[in-house]
Amino acid sequence: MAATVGSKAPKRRPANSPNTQQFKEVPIARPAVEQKLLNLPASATFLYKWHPERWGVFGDEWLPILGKLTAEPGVAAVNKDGGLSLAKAELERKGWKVIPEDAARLADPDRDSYVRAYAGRGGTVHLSIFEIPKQVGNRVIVKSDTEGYRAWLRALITEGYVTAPDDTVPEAIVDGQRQRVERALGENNPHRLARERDRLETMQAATVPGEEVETEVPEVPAKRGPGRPKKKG
Amino acid sequence: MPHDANAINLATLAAAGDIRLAAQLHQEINLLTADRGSGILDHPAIMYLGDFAGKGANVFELPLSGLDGYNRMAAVAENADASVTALTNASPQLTIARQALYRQVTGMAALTASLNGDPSELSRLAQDMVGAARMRLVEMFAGIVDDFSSTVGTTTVDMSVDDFFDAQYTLTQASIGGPYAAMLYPVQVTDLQGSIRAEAGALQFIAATQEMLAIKGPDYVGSFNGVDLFASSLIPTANGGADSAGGMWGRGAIGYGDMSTGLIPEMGIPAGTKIRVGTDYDEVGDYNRIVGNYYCGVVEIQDSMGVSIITDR
Repeated sequence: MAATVGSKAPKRRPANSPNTQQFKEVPIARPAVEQKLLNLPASATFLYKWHPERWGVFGDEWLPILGKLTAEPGVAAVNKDGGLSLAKAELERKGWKVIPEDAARLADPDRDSYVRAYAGRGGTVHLSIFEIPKQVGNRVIVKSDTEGYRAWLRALITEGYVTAPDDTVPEAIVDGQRQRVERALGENNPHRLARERDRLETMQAATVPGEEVETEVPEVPAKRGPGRPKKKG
Repeated sequence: MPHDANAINLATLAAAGDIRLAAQLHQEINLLTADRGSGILDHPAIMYLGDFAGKGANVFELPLSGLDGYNRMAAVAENADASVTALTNASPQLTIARQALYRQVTGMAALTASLNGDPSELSRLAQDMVGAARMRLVEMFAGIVDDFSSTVGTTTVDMSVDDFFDAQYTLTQASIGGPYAAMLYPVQVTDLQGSIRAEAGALQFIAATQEMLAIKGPDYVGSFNGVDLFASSLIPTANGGADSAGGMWGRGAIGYGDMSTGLIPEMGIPAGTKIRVGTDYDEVGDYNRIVGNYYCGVVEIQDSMGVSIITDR
């Protein structure tokens, strides 16, 4: 029977009871086929990286579009044993900045890495803490914690891991969007035109980090001057 | 007329002396579904940087020089000295590393093989190493098409014709010569095709024909506005898993180098073999070991020659 609040504590069995455990319990050695392994291809761990030119509109704000430096030997100057020092130097030469793993604490104070490793069928699978794998039948669907990721990006800017964009970057992207509107205008496609105009408006209205939000000063109603005296009679 | 209780049927044959099997193998081994498209590797937009075996290192600097019109002449007055123009150089680094696939086949597995092309045949496994090496190289490339500092697309929004044009215009505006290739996640490809369907006018997506697939590989999906499109499920995620990060680039943006094996006559391996496959036998354990090794590396050579296309996954 399940213990309820206020019930007495269960009696302790004497040491010589036949039910007393003499041996230490270990995890059940299940056959490999019964183990819950993530059915995704094995992948290497990674570091997030940021470039001053990579910005985009996420919802109603401008946020950085991060890249990944994957610890795959032979890829982008990662050394034969997975060493990242040369790759990091290459990235910095190209204007990138590596986001240290401990920046994960901005999303979760208890974490020291934004990478989460899972046991997979083909080896270890490394995903970001914002990617949540889910088994549906025989398929694995990776859901994205979009809100959590955006909040983390915001925190990266506030904490100085990422610097606010130069004015010219959002301007150039908005200008590109304006060209898309013009192309849609020329093609006489009302649905596309409406969609591209909406996107342009969203971009123009989106908050740029580092820019002071202009608060609308309520207009003080002008005092009416003395009117003409009413006509009598 | 009803069946007699002693009629010979499947159940009695199976129960009495295993005259029928519970299951028998079909006489043909088919392949499990997988992404086997590696035609992108043979596209001219991907540069083969050469064979780096015997060059004294596994890290190489690729010299790029600002010559042949990088710096233009300037007008100088007749009675003035011309100013000295510095030479602009860059040298991205290519690192070559070992990629391998190792399998073991027990004696019992080999002895019980009954079909042609059985996966326990060493010759079949050796043949498999070629596909394994090529797909590994595709995977390595897929990992760097997100490395371009220019991006197009909108997060969590399906890829559209406009994203495609934005990428192409970015390359054209940067004076990048063709041929262009684009490598996209399959969902990006279908989103693009859906967007093209809604287009009016003379835009035409030239879908891959049987002949084209035979030449360019199963990952080739067609050509749009002069750009060859390849689909790969190995394209990584971006923006916390919400998006895919494919890319479009011109020749010279990305490339790869490798190291071929030297002559090993005692093993029957000729010089110049890119993928070295070795086998040996363990007497005590009664199993064969078969290992394929390929030494290669991929690099982003010139950042301005490519664009990452980041759209909904």
